[in-house]
Amino acid sequence: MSLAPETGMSTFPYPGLRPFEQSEADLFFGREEQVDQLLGKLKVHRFLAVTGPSGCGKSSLVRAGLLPALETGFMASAGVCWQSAVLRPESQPLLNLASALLAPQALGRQTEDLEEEIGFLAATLRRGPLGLVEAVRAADFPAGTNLLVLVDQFEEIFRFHRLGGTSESNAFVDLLLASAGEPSVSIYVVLTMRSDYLGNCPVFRGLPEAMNESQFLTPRLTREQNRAAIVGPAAMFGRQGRAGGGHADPQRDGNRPRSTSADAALADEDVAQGHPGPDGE
Amino acid sequence: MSYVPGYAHDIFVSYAQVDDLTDREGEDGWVTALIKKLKNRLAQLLGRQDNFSLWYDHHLRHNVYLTPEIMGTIERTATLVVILSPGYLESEWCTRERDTFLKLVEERRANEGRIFLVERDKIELEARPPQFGDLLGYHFWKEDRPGKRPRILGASHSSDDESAIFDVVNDLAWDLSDTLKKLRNATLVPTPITTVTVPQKLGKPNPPTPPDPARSPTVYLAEVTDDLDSIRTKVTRALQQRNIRVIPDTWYPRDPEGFQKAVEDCLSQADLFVQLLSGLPGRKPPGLEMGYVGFQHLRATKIGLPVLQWRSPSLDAQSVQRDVEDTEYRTLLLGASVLAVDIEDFSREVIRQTERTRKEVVDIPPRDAFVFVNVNLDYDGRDTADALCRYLKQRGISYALPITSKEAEKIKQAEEIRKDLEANLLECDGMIVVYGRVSNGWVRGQLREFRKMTYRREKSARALAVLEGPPLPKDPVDVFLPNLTTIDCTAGLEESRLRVFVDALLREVGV
Repeated sequence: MSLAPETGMSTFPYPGLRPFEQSEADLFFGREEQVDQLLGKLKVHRFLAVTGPSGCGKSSLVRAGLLPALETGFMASAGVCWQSAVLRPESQPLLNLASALLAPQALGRQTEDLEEEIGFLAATLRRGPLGLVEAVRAADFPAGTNLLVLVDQFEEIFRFHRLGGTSESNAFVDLLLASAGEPSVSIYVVLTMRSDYLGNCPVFRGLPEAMNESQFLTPRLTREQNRAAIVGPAAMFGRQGRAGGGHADPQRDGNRPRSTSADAALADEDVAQGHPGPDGE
Repeated sequence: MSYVPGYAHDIFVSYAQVDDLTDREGEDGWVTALIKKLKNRLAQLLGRQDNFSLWYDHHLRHNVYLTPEIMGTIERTATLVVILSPGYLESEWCTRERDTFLKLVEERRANEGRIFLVERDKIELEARPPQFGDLLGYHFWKEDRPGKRPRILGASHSSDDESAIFDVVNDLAWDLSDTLKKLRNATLVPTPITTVTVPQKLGKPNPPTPPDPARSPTVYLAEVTDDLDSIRTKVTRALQQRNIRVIPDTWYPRDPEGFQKAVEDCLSQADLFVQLLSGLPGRKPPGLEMGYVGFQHLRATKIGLPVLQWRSPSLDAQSVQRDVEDTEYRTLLLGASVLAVDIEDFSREVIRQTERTRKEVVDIPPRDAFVFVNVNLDYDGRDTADALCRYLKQRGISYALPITSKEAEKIKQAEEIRKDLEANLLECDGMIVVYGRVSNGWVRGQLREFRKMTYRREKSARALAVLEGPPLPKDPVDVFLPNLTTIDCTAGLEESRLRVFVDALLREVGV
């Protein structure tokens, strides 16, 4: 991530091949409607599975779209006080969740001994499906605070389940579902998952039902959205894409590789989406 | 400063020095390491490190007795943690002052939940002082294989034990902090100024009000063999998180007579009997030939409690047949109420059934007879159905009609319509399908739905009829079901024809 220290804003218009981070929300264009739909589903169910093929932009959508939208207060009923824990399950989902919860933007730490604190928090999470609810209650948030748990690359849990982590993965999924379903504490759960793993979901009881209720299959961008995604960040840096009536000028910043020019990116996308170029090429 | 007002300390830790010895220079002994961890966790749960006071004398020598000063300290402490081990039972100070100390233990026990037993090693119930012999402890030992000498967690500095140690210390800290919070709240309740108060004697605050057992759903989670101990704890925690009371919460006496009586007392308070079964049948003492495990199950079924049992999915039917020699136990393991599923799934099922049991008790109103009048209101209009319902009302019989499609439109939930239909089909004592201006296929469909429900019904329906209304002609329904009759009202509703159905219904009820 490349941020200007004085402004906290991005210093480069595109993140490249990696997903957008939450801090790059200022560069995240074109998915506003999708974010609105995510917010709508999350508000009702407090659980949301964002699915799609590999590389379709699920993580970016959630990190740079949904999370900032929540903090801005677009889910009006929940207010603007959001804490968030972001994790990948890998092969120790409960420890990773405990670790993510101790981040300052989540529950935060209470002691100097990180290892011990993770150990106790993980033990609390292991106490049962309402372990996270107990941990949040014990954290004694100010009234009106919400906790968002974002499990990125949730599909890792299936591999862990298959390779001997059955009990822990069951407990982890139970914990997520029970937390989202507990009315007395405001916990929201969002997963991102590759859609080719959908068929694996029934290994966890309750997961298919939750996904049937609240799943978002990430659509490809429309041409207009695509244009916004490319031209928007460029415009932030003083360039204009063709949508703005002019051509991006790669010469204005000679240090940047030409391949990042808005023109080139749009042309690539035209080919990928089967559209002829604006010039009829 | 103590957390609970009126006490010098919140927690007194009683232990044997022998359990805190260490060979390694500069390293904490087992007890000291435990106390450090416990204090850190309590600090998180109660606010700050200096928010509570835990007393333990780490300068105790082998031959230091339980001095009057120490006894006085215990008296002025809100809760007591005993670290039980063979060394503790044999320690000199403990035997010397045993009587006085155990008297204090007894007092704490009378004041519910104020003594916590840490089991540093496995001690058979018979070897424990009776004053805390039946207390369920926090196990810091693990039986890796049945029959093998248990391992003390943390004694071998193995990193494998780390998460298990965190689990037990965390549980102990949660329970301690819960108790301290309750004690504190009980002493901080503001007193109305008009009431004359009697000063409380130091060290004897009012005990917290216990939860009303009658209001909490209660699960009898049977005693398990040692190898399933940690799994029982896991299920207990999951149930307690849902405010489900789990009994027994102490050990039963080991003598057959005492055991049987305790089991029966306990079962009488339960809504559901739950049992975790291992590959081992458990002990069968003389006088209790079916063993502790078998007896609990037998008594539960005798008094008609719903039963839910679990065995590990790795214990498949084939291996049970092959490896379990005890015939009775084999039958128990392969019984119809045994679920061989992951323990998380099982806990969820226990919660579901417990909540359902309670709901049924609360929800089912006393009633005489209830008829579900199944009529397609869209096509028949309300005439036949209205006349039928008027007659049922006259005879004092409750009835329900299905949700009409207009209501359904408002609800827009297929699930609610289906649930409503299912509820009616499950609870009705009789059903009448009104065969009006609809196809015989529709009537057959309604009867099929009813038949599908029969396996979930507790009793078979007392009366079941197809009421043939206008217009004629009618295609035959051609369905046979027990108790199914046809009432011919094609020429209009005649009470005399309905009376046969209704009389049959009421005769069964005894109205």
